[in-house]
Amino acid sequence: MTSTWSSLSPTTISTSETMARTNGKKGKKGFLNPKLPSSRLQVAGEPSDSTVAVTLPSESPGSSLEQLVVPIEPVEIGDPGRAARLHVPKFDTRFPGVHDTVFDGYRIYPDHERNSPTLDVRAASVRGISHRHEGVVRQDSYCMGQSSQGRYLVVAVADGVSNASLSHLAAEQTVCSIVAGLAERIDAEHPDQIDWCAEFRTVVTQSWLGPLRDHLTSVVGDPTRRLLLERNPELPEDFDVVQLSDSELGAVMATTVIVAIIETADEDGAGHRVWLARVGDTSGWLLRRFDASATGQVAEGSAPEPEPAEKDDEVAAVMSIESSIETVIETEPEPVPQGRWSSLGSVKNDGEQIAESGTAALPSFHDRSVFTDLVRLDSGHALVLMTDGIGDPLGGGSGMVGDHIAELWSDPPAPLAFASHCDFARKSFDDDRTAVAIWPIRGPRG
Amino acid sequence: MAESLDDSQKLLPFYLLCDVSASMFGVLDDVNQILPALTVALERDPIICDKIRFGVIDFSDDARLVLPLCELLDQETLPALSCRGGTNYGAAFDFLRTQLEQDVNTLKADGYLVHRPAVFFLSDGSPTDAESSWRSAFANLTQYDKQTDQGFAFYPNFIPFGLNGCDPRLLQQLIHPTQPKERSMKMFLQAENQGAAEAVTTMAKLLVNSVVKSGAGLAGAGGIVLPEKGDDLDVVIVEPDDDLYL
Repeated sequence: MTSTWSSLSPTTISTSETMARTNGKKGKKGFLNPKLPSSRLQVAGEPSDSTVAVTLPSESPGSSLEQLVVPIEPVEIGDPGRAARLHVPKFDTRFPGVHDTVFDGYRIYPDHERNSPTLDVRAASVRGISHRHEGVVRQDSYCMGQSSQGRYLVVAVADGVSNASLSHLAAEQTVCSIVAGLAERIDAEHPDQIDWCAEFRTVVTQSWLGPLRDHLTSVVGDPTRRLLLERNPELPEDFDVVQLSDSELGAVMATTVIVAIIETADEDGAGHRVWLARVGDTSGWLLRRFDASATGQVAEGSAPEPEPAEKDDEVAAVMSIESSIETVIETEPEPVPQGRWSSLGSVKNDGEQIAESGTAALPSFHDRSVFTDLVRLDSGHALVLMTDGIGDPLGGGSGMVGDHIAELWSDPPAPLAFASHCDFARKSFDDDRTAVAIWPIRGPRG
Repeated sequence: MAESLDDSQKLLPFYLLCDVSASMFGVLDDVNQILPALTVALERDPIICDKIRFGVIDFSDDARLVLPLCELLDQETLPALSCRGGTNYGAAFDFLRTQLEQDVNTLKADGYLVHRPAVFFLSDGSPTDAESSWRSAFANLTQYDKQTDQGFAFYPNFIPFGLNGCDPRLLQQLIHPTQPKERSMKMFLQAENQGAAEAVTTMAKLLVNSVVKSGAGLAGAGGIVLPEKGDDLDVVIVEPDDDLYL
């Protein structure tokens, strides 16, 4: 009896709290506190009724059962804008096979025995509301794979350039091809030895041309074929895709890409080594996680008077819930340590007088626009790869968007919740959104 | 939680810089339909209205701010243009530069991520001020060297719309920028056999489409989207390097 309610008391959140936290902000919904285990996020009827809460059997954090229970609330950060409310999602009838949203959640083991997992991964790619409203496919893509001996996790994220009509193919082919290629050979070939420029050029010639050829010979491919013929009058009517120059190819297929190779075992205890390479404005970040000792205990330190565990009657439980709600409200904003997000490489538009939306991209990129980095990922951080659909609203990471996502992703959320986080509403940001986040598993609890 | 500069929203500012000299008398009623038409288009397009701002400046002997840069859908009333005096290009360009500088700086200070402003310049005549005067005002408005940060960093994309009576060769020189090719602007001229009112209506349509498509493009490669030659639109499209023998 005691255990059920007392375990609820510091952490239960209800609609009334959601309302209370955003009280006075017209038309804005709050967000559920991500530090609370999701199985306890039970909605409790009308705003006035904060006393009815249902809980599930207590589970240790991160258990599989817990991750199935996902209360999905639309996430709004600041002013969601008119578009979030009024847009109408539509099919792109040209490409029926491309999903609006895809997401994954995995636990990574460094070896075949699968005794001790070392990493948690969440990934989601969500069509932007602009593409939804216009009936255009999602042009972002991600892919991940583990090397055959398990030593490395390979992750790629790509953002198809929107003014090239087949960029969703470019993005998808690029991430799948790079991940498959690297996962197959990276155990034998050290990541230091990868020639990234060659890697990116190879992926274009080896993986783009086949699907492009198929497309151009299909009925829906005719406008693209016409466009290519218009751009180059010297091309014969029955040209083959191998005859296209990089710039002609780039007019119909172009994509940014970021690749990370992550050691699955933190062998020396100094953090998992991560090799990164990217072309264009798809970015990599280290997200400093909330301190483990503070996680899930937001309210306790500053609670007016913690309820004694002996008070196990219902009234006490109700009071306890209410006081915890109060406390959460009082403690917001919590002291957020500075610099939660560290960009790996430069931040887009940083220091620019006027914002630009152009970017370097495959296939026509200069060798010097390939950015590479080697970093360590320790358990105090998560590695996050993202397209500019999230990167642009995040900016340098020090604002409200950065704080909000940092809080949501301090620990791995349920995969479906992760996808909904990527789909947050914020005025003027309507691009496709993709993120892959990797958390080292901390402590013996796993 | 306060919004910091890292919470910048994207914004694409558009301006209509409109000649209201005496010769425009017959078409201003049609020009005055542009804002309502744009408002209707924005109401229908929730994606775009969150990202664009629109302002109107008129000019004749002097230039005036008719509609400060705003969210059109938030406006309860829309202003109307009326005629007065001559055609002073220099005054128009000087005023625009001051206004752009002020607006972009204000928006940036308010935490917006401001994309390069676009200006639709509508005129039916030749300038009545001295050539040296409007040319230097235009240079002042449009020239910028990114390496040395000399000139006007917020220079606009400048898109001339010429009605009968304008000097097409002169207007062509106002297209800005002219390179690189993928980012160059164009100008638009009243089609032959077309009345001025009809031409303004076509240009209003063109302007609305451009605003909507450019706003949509903010999600991707961006830039100002203008109609291409061959598009079904009753207007003469002129590129910066086209030969004009009108």
